[in-house]
Amino acid sequence: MGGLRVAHYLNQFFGGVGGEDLADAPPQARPGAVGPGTLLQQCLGEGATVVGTVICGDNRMAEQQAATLPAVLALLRDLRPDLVVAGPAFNAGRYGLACAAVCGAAVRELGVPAVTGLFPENPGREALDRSVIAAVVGATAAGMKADMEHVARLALKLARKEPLGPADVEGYLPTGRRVNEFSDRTGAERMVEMLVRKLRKEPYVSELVVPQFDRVRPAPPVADLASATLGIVTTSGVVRAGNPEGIESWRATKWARYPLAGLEALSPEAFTCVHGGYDNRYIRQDPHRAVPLDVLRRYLREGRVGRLHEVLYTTVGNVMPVERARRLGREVAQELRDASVQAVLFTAT
Amino acid sequence: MGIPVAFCSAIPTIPLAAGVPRVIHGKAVPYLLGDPSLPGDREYALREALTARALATLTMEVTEPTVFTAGG
Amino acid sequence: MELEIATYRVRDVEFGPATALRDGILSIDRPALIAHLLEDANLQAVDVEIARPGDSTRIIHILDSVEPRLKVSGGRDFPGLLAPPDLAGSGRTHRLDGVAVIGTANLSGAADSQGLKEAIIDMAGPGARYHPFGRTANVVLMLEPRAGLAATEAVAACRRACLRAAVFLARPTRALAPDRVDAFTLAPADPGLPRVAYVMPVMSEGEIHTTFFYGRSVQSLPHLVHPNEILDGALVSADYWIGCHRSPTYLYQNEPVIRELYRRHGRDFDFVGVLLCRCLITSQEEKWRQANQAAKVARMLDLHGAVITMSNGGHAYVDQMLLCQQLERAGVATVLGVDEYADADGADFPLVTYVPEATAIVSVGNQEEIVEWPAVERVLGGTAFLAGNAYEKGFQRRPDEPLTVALRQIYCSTTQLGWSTLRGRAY
Repeated sequence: MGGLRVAHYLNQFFGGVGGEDLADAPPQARPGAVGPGTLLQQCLGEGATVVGTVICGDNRMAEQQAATLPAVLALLRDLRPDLVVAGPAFNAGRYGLACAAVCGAAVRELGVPAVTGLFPENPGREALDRSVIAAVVGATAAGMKADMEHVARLALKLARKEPLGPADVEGYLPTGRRVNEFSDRTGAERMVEMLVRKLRKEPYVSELVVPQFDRVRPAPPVADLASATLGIVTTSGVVRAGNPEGIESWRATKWARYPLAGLEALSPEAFTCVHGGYDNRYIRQDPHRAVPLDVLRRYLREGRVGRLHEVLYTTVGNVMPVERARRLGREVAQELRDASVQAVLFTAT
Repeated sequence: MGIPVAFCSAIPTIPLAAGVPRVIHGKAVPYLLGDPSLPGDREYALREALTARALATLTMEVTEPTVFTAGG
Repeated sequence: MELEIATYRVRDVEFGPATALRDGILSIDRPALIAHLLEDANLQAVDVEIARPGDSTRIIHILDSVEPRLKVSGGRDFPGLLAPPDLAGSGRTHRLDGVAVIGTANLSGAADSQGLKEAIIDMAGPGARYHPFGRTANVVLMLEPRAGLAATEAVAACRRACLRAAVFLARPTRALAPDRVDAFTLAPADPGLPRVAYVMPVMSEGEIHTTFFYGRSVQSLPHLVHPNEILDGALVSADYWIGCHRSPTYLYQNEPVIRELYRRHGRDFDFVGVLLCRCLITSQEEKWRQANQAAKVARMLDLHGAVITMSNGGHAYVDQMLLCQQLERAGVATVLGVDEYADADGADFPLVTYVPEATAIVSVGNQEEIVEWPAVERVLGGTAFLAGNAYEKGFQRRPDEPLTVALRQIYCSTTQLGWSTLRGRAY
């Protein structure tokens, strides 16, 4: 044995420390392979050596991750690994979350490839970094031998910097990266074939799995708008005449902030619309159709709204990549927070 | 603690799928808070109704993504 | 409804003294074709060129593409547009296999949906496999509508010209023997087979970007259509928006999903028909109304399964996803055809929206992949990329220079009707 140095991460159960009663076990290292590590070593073969094993209780990692993960990482770093393997965790939820966290940290902090094994419904899946490969394994350790072979095969490929094929072919959970390829069958043939399989209740592989968006935790309401500060945000593409900030008509990369103080209304001379996803002439004729400043001014005079944060935050919400939308949203939210805005009117087309 | 947002959208299906809690159903994509086919005063009344509805949601407790319409 | 489509294989196209088909060579009387198209008073100039597979040619400003067809019995050519709206889908129709009419025009682009978007194809090199016309000999029309026409009238004149050219080119087949005849009829199937429909939302955004069904812009609630009607010219594209996911008339005449459903009809399922729907509807109420009505029709048809495609993108996904949701709730197993917005590096969430019921999806590819194709010797359709589109990556160059653009600009590269083998894959 020799070649690649492999560090293996296990929970207290597979690491032989104890059962659920020892799920608080702190991070600890053992030389060489432990428990399923012996099988891992067999599967890796001659070219790689399991140089050590880091074990940690699942509850310890789940409940005190901020303190525990660095300790695990330090023990892994001492092993000077070329590759980190965690688990496999099968369908064990806390173990899966721990394996995902350990692998993500190994890639980020140690700069080495990291592989785990998860059953597709393991909640650890949601905690996976895009850089981590999670081999698809069974729900329980009953298929440990075949599953470990699978984990080891993917781990060796990564360690040897061999390119991985598509997720469904190689048997790992999609990392979120999409690649265009030419298939041997047309899209129409694949659609009809998938329908036949679905009707016959035969297995089929959807070419795109809809992930869950972030759920937004509803913010508590304001007690009384008449004493609150209101902010206005829009993705309708209403911009100053001439679009001086150069906001793109789709896939926008930026947002703009316009002072509203002293403005009673949004005139079509001073404001226009550059959204490229719909027929925007009606907004250009009257920007209030997207940003109701006319109504808000009246409500402010009547005292129905306490104060206005006198800034319009605007961009174009036309097929903006989700990651970019998150970033722009965070930036605007920070401004609103800094201005002590208590409630927001958001207009999206 | 988050800031409550009244999210006016012509296509509520999209913010609902994204889990937005307070969604107000606007008029249409090209005129979210208006209707060019209406005379000016009636169009303003429509916008005011939608805006008032949106602002009202900011003082309401919501527990899950919910669509509000101007009518109720 | 019984339709016979007689296929005449065309190996090459050339200009000649008369329009004729001989030994697989289509000869075109160019002045006669131009004069024929100029009979339309709304066209002030027409030119015609030929672009063959392997030519170092780039075609830009594409509006629509049409397969040359001639109705010889049982109906009219492009009913509703070139003739009264007689029912299509019966009788005998001749088609030229291996030829496409490609209509181009330098009409005003705009940053919003009231203008036209650029649409490009390459006839040689790596780009030739990304669109359906890299294997056809293409008769490229360069159309100039009369000055001062409204955009809707200008595109209407171009649309008519493409259809009229298609009929003109197929006329020589009238008395000739075909290479092959295919019969299309929905023969009664074993009642034990699952009942399957094709739910087909077509572009229906507004005045300019729409789809014509028997000459009328599709505005109705879900409409039950015989697949033969679509194969036989009842459906004509008027989508001039994002180039990659347009559904051109050519692909309605050769609708890939309908062809595949026909191929397996009576064996794997009973193909009941096509439910013609709309997408990119601008009102949410109409989106809900459509999905509910489609589910009602599905129940009345006692459907078990449906393929649901879509046209173009953006909030068209909402129309498709709501159809999926309501059909699934009505007990209909669905499969969706989509293209992706996964960003240039493939790392972004690929759909505009989704419903949890969308569990069987076929992806025809990520339209945001950046492609780099070499310079070409000849450009047809125009001398500069369409005005109003200059903010797009790659459009600051001349069109004959090396092309670096997103697939979004490549005509039909990710059409959700699934003509191509391109697919998006999870890594």
